Amino acid sequence: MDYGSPLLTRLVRGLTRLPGIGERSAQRIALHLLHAPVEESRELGRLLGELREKVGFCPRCGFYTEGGLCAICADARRNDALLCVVEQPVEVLSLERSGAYRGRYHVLGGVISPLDGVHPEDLNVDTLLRRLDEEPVAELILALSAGVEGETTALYLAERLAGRALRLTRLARGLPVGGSLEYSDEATLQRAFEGRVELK
Amino acid sequence: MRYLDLRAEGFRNLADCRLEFHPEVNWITGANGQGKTNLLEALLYLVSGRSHRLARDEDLVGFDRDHFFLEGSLADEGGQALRFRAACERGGRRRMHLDGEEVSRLADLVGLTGTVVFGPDDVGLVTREPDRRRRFLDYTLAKTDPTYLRDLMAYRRILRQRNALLQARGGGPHLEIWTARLIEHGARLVLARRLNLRVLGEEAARFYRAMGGDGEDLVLTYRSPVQGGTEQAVAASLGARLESLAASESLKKQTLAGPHRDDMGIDIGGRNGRKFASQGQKRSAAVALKLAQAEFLARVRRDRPIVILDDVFSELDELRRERLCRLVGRQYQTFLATPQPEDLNRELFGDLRRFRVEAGRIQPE
Ligand SMILES: [Zn+2]
Repeated sequence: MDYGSPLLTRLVRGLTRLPGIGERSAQRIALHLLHAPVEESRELGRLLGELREKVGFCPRCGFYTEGGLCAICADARRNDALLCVVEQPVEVLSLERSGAYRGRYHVLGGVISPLDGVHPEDLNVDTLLRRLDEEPVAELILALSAGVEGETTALYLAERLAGRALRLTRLARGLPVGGSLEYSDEATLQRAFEGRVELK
Repeated sequence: MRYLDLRAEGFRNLADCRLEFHPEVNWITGANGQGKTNLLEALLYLVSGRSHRLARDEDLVGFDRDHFFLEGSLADEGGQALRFRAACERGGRRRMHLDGEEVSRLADLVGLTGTVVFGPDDVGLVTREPDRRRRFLDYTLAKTDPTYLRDLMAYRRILRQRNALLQARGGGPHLEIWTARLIEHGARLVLARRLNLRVLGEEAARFYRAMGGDGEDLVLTYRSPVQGGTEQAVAASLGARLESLAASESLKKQTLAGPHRDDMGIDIGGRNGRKFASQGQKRSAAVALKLAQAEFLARVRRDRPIVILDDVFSELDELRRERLCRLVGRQYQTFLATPQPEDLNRELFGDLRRFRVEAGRIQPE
């Protein structure tokens, strides 16, 4: 499709590469930016430029931060006795939105899956063990996706944690099988937290 | 479950039709290529969303049509009627409805109606590679036991993961965790297969005897190097087996023991039927297996499956044909297709409805 301007055409094509954006949506966004007050697109351009430079990952938990500890790790009001292990930072967002949890997080970076070339050493396990040495964690909650890989990863972690004076729990089932926390609604997450069960 | 009626439009080569079925025997005749199997396929597709010829939805649309539409009523054991509908536009997504509600997950449909299909190719159950027999066992058990289905899905995924690890690294320290999980689910599968095979085997032996005429016995066995009568014992045995195979596994880069390597032995007259049986014996054994499956499903699900026999008479002798007809006729609603009208002696059945198929046109008699 020719938009009469090579730049506009390239912008639309670029936008269609974003998740969930088809050609029609891309066109709407591009034309909106063209007609809206110029500050709007300048601000967006500035943010996009800085995004990859400024936003990184928290050295302690792996959540998003703009340098130093993330807001959750730095928050003194969080419950230090609870540590929740999730696969990706996006799941921290889901859990925070649900309001079901006031402890701290640890982002594992995935689950064990040789089919995808992910092995235990690719996950943030060593940093997790170090945190357990240093922080007064009483309960470790595994919030990994249901399914073979999530369960195997939970089993692997349980083995690595054997012998520690630590309560090891996982979220109650009822989350969609194979689906991540990202797509669970708030009430479901609340129930999953309340009904969490002890790992053997 | 049994079919009351079927309406078909634009399905394969079938002319648009509305058919009412006999509660017991429906006999479909017509020369090859006229549409007999297409009618059987429509009957299966409507209640299961699958084709026994493994056709894609697209292929089911008649060549000069833009969509197909199937609708049929079935009655369950209690006489309760269910209305099934399936439709697909050329190049579109198929939609299935049950009593007016869209069925989004095929699994919801699959659990509802038992169907047993026997076609000319099914003698492969006896003669071909072990994976045919494993699939037969898995299908039978998964249909009747949700726990088995869960274990099976988990096992298959774990197996793929474990093989991927063997491929990538030939094993290593992280293999152990996958081995543990493989054993956990694998042991349950082996045990369930072994226990249920006794029941299935008795049924199959009964059908074979009733149909046989050769005085020989059919015996099904579970063939596996993994032993044990309890979950713990099977797990221990599978564990030991995997341990002894560790070197070969890292060399061949695949999992060499577990339910995915086991087989179902089919012995006829005390000898391996796969190798030593006659063509007629093999075919009888395959039919007996399928009927045993029907009986097994019926018993567990408390609902009789629909039996579809697609051209199975050609390689059975007169006596076996007669006996097969007597066996299925009264027990299940049966749809049987034969190329020649003389393939079947209708005196064998008390009552039946016959349909002639010619160039896609189906004429009830
Ligand atoms: Zn942090």
